[in-house]
Amino acid sequence: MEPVCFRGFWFFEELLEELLCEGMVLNKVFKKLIVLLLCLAILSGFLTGCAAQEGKQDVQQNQGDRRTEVVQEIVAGLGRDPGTMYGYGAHPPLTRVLEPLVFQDLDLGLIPGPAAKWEVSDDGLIWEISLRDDIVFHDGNAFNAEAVIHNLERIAKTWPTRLGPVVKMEAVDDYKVKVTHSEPFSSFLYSLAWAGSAMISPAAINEDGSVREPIGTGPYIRASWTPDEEMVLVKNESYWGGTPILERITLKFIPDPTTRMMALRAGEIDMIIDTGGVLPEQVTTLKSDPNIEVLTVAGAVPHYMTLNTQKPPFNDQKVRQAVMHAVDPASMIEHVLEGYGAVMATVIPYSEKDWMHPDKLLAFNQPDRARELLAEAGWRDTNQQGILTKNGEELRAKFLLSSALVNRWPYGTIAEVVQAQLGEIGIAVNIEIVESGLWQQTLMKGNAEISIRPWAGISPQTRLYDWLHSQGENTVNMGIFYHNPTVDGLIEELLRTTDDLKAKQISHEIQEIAAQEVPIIPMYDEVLINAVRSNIKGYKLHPWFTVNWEHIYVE
Amino acid sequence: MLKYIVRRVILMLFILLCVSIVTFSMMHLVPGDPAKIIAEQRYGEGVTSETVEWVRKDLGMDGAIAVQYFAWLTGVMQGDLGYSYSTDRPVWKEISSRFPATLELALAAMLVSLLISIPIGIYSAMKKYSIMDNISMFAAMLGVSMPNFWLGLLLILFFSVHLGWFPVYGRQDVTSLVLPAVTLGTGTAAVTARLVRSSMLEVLKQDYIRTAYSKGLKEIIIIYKHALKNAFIPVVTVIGLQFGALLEGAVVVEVIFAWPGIGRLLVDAIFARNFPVIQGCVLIITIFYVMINLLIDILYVWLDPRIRYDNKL
Repeated sequence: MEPVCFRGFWFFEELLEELLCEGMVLNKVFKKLIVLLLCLAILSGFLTGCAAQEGKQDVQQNQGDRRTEVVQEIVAGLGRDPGTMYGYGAHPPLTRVLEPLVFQDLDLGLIPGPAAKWEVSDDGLIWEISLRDDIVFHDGNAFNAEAVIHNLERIAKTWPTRLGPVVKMEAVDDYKVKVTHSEPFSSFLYSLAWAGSAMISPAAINEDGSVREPIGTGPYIRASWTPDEEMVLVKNESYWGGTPILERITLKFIPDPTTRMMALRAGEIDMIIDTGGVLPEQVTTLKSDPNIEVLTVAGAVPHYMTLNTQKPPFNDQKVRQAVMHAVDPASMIEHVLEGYGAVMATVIPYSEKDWMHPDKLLAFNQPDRARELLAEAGWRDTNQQGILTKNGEELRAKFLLSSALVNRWPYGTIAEVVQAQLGEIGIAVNIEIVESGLWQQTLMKGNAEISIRPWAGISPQTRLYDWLHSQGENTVNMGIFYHNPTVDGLIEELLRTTDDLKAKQISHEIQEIAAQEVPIIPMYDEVLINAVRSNIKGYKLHPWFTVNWEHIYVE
Repeated sequence: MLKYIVRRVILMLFILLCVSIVTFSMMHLVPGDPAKIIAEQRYGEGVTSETVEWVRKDLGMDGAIAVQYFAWLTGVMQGDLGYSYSTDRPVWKEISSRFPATLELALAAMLVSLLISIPIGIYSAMKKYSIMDNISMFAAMLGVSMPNFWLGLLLILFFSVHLGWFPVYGRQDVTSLVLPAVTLGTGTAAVTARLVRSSMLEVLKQDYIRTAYSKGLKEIIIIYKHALKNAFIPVVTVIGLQFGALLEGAVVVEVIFAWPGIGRLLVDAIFARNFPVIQGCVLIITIFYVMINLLIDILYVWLDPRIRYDNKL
C-alpha cells in the first residue's frame, strides 16, 4: 500500500498544477519546493494540534468560563518552577500543599499551625508540642505524633543542624511530641516554622528520607505538575483551617519578567506572586492600568555586601569602616530600586524589628569621614591619580558577582554605583560577573574582596550565626573569614538562651560589634512586590511570600 | 547513494561519541562542586557537608570521571539516558516531553522564514537596485539587527496586550505558536533573503541565462526553470544549518514566550549541573543536526543531478 504522506505529496502537486499551470510551465523543482513548504506547514500544524489535545482543552475551557461568569479558579504566574525547591515537588509557602508545624504571621511572629501549642521546660532543654487532632494528610493518613516524629527525623537527617542538638524525639501520646536537646536551642520554633520543615505524609517518604510526592496537610492538593510549565492545585475540602474558596489554582512558570507583566495586563494570568515576581521598574506601568492592583510589603530579604576580612586591604578595620561610610544605599534605593527598598540600620532586618538594636548603628554616605579613616590607616594619594597607595601598593579590590543573582536583582548596577562611590574616596574597584559555581569557589578561596548576596534566614539568632560566627555558613562560603572570639562566644550563648529579654540584649551587643568591625555591610532591605487583577480579593502579601490561598477569591 | 548514506550514519555514531566525551569532560572541568550545587537546589541554602556527600554518593558522582562516563555510556547503549538530578524523572521523558515543542517551533519558524525570504530574495534579484529592492533589503537588514527578545516583546505588546489576538505565553493551540514562530523566523528570514538575492544575481549573470533570454523565453520561465534551481544550492545549505540552530538556539524565544522547549531545559540543566539532562539534550540535538545535514546532502542531488556522492567516495 502506498504510504499516506506520499499520496498527500502527490495530491498537492496535482492541485498546484491545476491552480498555476495555465499558460505557465512550472518548473518541477520550484513546484516541489512549494510542496515541501506546504508539508512543513501541515506538519507543524499537526504537531500543534497534537499538543493542543494533550489536556490543554480544559485550560482553555476554564479561561473561557472565567470571562463569562465568576468561577472560583485562577491562574497565577511566577518566575520559578514551584515544583523544584527542597526536593518536595511543591514549594511549601507558594503552593501551600505542604505546611510546617508552626506558622508566621504578617509580622513574622510565631503563631499556631498544625501545632496548636508548645511549651519549653525551664532549663530550655525539653520542648513539648501539642498537635491539633482534627488533621488528616491529603492521602487520608492520620496526622499524629508518629507522623510528626517521622518528619522531624527526616528533616534532622537532611539538615543536621536545623533542629538544634536533638538527643531524643518521642511521642507522649497520639497528639503530643516531646523533643529533648542536649543544650538549649532558642531558635527551635523558628526552625519548625521554616518552609523546609514541612510535614509530609509518611506514606510519601522514601526509606532514604527523600520525598516521593508532596502529600501534606495544606489547603490545596497538588493535582498535576508539568515541570517547567505549570502546576495545578485543587482545594482540600477537609482543610483544618476551613474550606478554601478557590476551586482550582494553576501556577504558571513564566521565566521572563516582562512576559509575566504583559500576561497579567492581557488578563491571561490573574496574579503575579513570589519574590522577584514584579520588578521595581514595572510598578509604574502596572499602576497605570486600572485593572491591576500592586501590592508591596517590606520584605524579610536583606541584601548584604561582604568584605574579605583576612586579606589586604580589608583586613584593616579602618578600611572596612571607610567603605561603609563611602557607600550610599539611600541613593541606590531611590535610583536603582525605584524606591522599593529600605536603608538598614543594623545587620538585623526590619522584619525582625523586635531584635533590632534601638539605635541606628550603621552610618552611610559620609565620604569625608571615610577619607579620614583611610588617611589614619596610612593610605595616601602619592601619585595624584586618585587611587590611594600605601607602601607602594595601590588600594584595589575585586567585586565579584554571581550571574544567577544578577539575573534576579539589579546587582550589576548596584556594583557600578559602589564602584563609583568607592572611587570617590580613592579605592579602585574592579567588577567581575561569573557563573554561580565559580563565584562560590572563588569567594571560598578568598580570591575576591567584595561580593553581595540576599539572605532571608530563619531566625534572628541563626542569622547572626550564619553571618558573624567564624564557623557560620556565609562567613566561610562568602569568603568573609571574620573571626572574633568574643562574637563567637556571644553567638553561642545567644543560641542557648531561651530568655527572650536576655537573648535580645546579647543580640544588641553582637550588632554593636558588627557595626564597629564591619565584616558585612547591610545594603538594603528588599520591598517585595506582587500584582493582582483587581477582581482578585483577599490576598495578603506575606514578607516571606507565603500565599494565603485559602482566603483568596474571585469577585 | 545508499552506500553514502550508510557511511554517513556510521560517521554519525563517531560524531556522537566524540561530542558526548567532549560534553562530559567539559561539564566536569567547569568550576564549582556539582554535588553541592545540586544539594543546595534540592534542599535550599545551608546544606551541610554530610548532605553534600550523601547527594554525591546518591547520584553516583563519587567515582572517577572515566568510570562515570562509561557507566553513562553503557546505559545509553541499552537505551537508558539516566535520571534527571533535579526532578528524578527519566531523562528520556524530560526530553521527549519537550522535543515536540521545540521541533514544532523550529518548523513553524522555518516556514515563516522561507515564506518571507524566498519571494523577497527573488524579487530583489530580479528588480536589482529598484526602490523595492532597496526597501526589502533594508527590511532584511532590520530583521537581522533586531534582537529576538525585543521583537518578541514588541509583538506581545501589540498583538496580545493591545489587540488580544494571540496568547502572551505558553503552548496551548495554534494561535500560541504564531508569535514565537514569527519572532524566531524573522531573524533567519533576513539572512536567507539576502542570500537568495545574491545567489540569484550570481546565476543571472551566467551565459546560459543570457542564452535563454536571447531565445526569447518568458522571464518567469527563465527565473523559475533555469535560475532558481541553480541558485538554491547555497541557500539550501544555509537553511539546513539554520534549522539546526533553530533547534537549540531558540532559548531566548523560549524564555520570553514561556515555551516549554528543549533549549530552556538545556540551559537550566547547565546552570544546575544536571549532567544526565545535559548529555541527553546534546545527544538528541547532535543526532538531529547530523541528520538534517545528511538530508541536505541528499537534497543537493535532487537540485543538481550532476552531484554523485558514490563516484566521489
